[in-house]
Amino acid sequence: MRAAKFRPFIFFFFLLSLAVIGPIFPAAPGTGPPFIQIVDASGQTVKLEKVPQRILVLGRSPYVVLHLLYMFPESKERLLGSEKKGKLASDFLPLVDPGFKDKVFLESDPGPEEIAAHHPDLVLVKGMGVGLRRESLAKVGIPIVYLGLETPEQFFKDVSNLGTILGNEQRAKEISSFFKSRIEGVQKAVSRLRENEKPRVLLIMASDRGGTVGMQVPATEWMQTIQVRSAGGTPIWLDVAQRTNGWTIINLEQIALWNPDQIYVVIWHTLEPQRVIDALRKDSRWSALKAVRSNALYAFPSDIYGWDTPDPRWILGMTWLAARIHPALFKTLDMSEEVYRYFGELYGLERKAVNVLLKPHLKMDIH
Amino acid sequence: MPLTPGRNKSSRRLWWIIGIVLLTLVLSLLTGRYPRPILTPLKALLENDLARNLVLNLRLPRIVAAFMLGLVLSASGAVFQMIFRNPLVDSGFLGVSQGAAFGASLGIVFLGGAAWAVQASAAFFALLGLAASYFLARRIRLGGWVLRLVLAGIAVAAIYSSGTGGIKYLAEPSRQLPDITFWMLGGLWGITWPDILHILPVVVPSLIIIYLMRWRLNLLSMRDETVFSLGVLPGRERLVLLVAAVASTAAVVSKAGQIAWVGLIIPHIARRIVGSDAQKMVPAAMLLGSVFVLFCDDLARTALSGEIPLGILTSLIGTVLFLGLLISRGLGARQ
Amino acid sequence: MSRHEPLIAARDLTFAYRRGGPDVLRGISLEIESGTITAVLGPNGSGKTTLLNLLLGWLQPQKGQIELGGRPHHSYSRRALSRTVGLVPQDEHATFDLTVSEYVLLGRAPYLDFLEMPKSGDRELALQALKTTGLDTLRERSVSSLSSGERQLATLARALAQEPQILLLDEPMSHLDIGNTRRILRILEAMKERGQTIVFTTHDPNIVASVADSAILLKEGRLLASGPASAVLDAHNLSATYGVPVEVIRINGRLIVLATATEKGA
Repeated sequence: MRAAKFRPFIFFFFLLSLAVIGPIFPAAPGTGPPFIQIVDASGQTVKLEKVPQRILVLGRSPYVVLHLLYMFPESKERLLGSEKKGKLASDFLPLVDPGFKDKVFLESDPGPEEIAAHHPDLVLVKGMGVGLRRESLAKVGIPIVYLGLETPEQFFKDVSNLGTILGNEQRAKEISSFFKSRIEGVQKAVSRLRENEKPRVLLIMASDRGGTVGMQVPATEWMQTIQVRSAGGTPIWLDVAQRTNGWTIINLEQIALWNPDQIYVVIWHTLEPQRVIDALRKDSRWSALKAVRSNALYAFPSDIYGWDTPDPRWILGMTWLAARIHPALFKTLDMSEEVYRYFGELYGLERKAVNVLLKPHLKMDIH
Repeated sequence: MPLTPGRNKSSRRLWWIIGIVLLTLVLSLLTGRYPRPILTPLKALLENDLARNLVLNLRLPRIVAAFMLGLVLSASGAVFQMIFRNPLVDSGFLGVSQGAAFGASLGIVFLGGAAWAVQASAAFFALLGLAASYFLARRIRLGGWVLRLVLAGIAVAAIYSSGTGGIKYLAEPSRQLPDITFWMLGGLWGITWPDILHILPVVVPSLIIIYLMRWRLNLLSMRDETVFSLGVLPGRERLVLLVAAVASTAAVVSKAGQIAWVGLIIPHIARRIVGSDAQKMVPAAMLLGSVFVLFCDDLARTALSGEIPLGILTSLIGTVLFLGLLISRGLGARQ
Repeated sequence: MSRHEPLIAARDLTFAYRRGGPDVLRGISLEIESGTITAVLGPNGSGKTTLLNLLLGWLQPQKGQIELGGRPHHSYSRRALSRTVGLVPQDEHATFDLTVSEYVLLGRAPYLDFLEMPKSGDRELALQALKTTGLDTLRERSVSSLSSGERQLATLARALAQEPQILLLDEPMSHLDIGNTRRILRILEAMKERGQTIVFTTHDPNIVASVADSAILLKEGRLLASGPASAVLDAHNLSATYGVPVEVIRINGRLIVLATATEKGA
């Protein structure tokens, strides 16, 4: 029984020694000189030893990242897979990469061991995120790069980073200049306008979750708000919206109070845009609004994916919006041509393919 | 015949429990989702560099943390139950873990988020929560002591919870808020070796104190006059034990978030197995608690490809165990 | 060596539970010799329990002093104090179920440092205490499963294990049958033989008569009489204490006290 007295001390000593020895274990393999170095959207410097060949896309919006990634032709071979996230109407990516269906798809929110089991050599995530994931993956030698993608400035940085990572900086430049030329085109026309020449614009999202049609306005720092501003409109919902945290619910009284010059409605993908617009126009409370009476109630365009989100299609949304808000300034703009050029230059899809595969899903100019 | 012939039986049971603990530890090391769900073959550990790294740097700190979490929560639960003479309390019912949560959020948002600041803030508000519950209970005029303490604890816990909600509202959304929210769910998701080092200086001495004073707990659960007449200063020794319990709880809560039910249910199970004498019950509770939390955490990181919050598992499994105990023979009785 | 001092000496004790509240004890002075059995007698509410708590040192008097062995309570370390004086309270209960033997073992606390566990010598003494009180067959039972009388015996066993110089007992025989009452009285006498000092409260004068050397009569917090038991226990004092007519008889040299059913002579 004498020995029993020391039992607790042996036990605690064991615990103590674990904690002391632990940090001595090497963090991760990887001792060669860094081949690639970038500063990602979270501000961290990430060093990669070689060009990654097994890229995994994780996080809350994998599609946004994937759509950007596929603008680089080498992604087809280098993409390992992504996290499964929700169901969309139909998938765009198999049109660009027939082999997309054979990629690896992880269940939602995988833990570090699950991620490691697929042996990726790079993880891409949209968002600044929690640093925990970076630390846990670092312990097993898997680097993680965060992408911002919420604003044009972030977008260009992310494109440049991806170019460096994939070893194709030339392509990154091509992508950036495509976007920049559109932005500059819009800016040239719009920058000369005075404040009172910019129509008062309301952008709302109509969704039917929960059985009733609800109206929400986007956050002040989100892409939708940026699109409206860049396109020469005055966003009028900024007082009631949050900064970054999500959509804010509003009601009809608020809309009537604002009585905007133009209204753009982002339609939830389960609803039929024309039906929603028609229903709104018929609604007696809506028909009294200035925007409805002057025929300035539009559904925000989309193809398979919406043009209002951080998805790279935001450039199409911005261009289209500028032409709607200031038709006089964009008389020569042909949106149809823009769509062909977008999918052609960025994804290598021929006009024929676009006609057959994408045009059927295109919902533009619905009002 | 010795004074307590039942002692040998209890000792043997204690050894059995130790055996189960060691077995669980070893199995936990081999459980995970790499390279396949559930069991990691030993061959992989020996040959594969990545597997070794994963086990040593991801799994092992988590296992140690879960182990310590179980030790601390059960030991603290036993201390609270005996000192407050109340079989229905643990750190969650006395405002202690909610106070720690509030303090930790405060540390993350307003004090820069350094590990020591978060922990110190957690400990301070946890102690404050305990004191508030105790003094509030003394002022309530409804029901017996058992009920009054529980009511007071619930009130204090609720105040802290709303305070934490307020801090979440003020938190910077991209960095601080995810930290707080994630951590409020309760989980050992991101435990690293430095985390273990941070809490060890508080946890180890506290556990040693509780362990060495365990026989005195029997006495300290009696009326103040009796305690005094047997030569013990009731206030002082109880305070030492309470501080040890609260400080260690705050330390682990600041890393693992709020984990419910462990401190409540494990001491009762321990009592059922080895008897109410704290000399046996405290170590039994500590060991049973460590097995329980370890098991739940293994489940949390292995059952699905994603992470199940640990707090949900301990509540679920803990509640089932609790109901089982209630239905079978009643709490605390030993024939 | 100074002149012989009483073991317990109290002078002019006055105590109230709340400041400005009614005095529970007023102007109590007493002296108790070492190696004696003293009984404190009085009706319910006369302040007997309070007096014991004051002698224990748990309560402090607003006026007056108490000395044990010529020193005040605060001059003793708390462990020395608990080895000097112990209390068997009237009602004890534990929320969590210890076995009888674990409960009795608690009495060894004054001999253990705060990080120490009871040793085999402590267990021996506890076992002895159980045997003395006749509880050793019940020692694996949980305390809450005992009858109130058995529980009283268990608390006494705990006090025996404590081995204090002075033992205070509050109504130690209130739940006991004749057999167990006799047992306790024998234990108290044996303790006296060993040199321990006993002070107990009771409201039964016959018990006082059978075992006490000295008696103290309390009524409404005041001292009515104190001194050798045979002198104090007379019909006049007892009637004054209880407010009912009382008769004291001697049978075989033993005092018997009876409450008379009617007024004497009526």
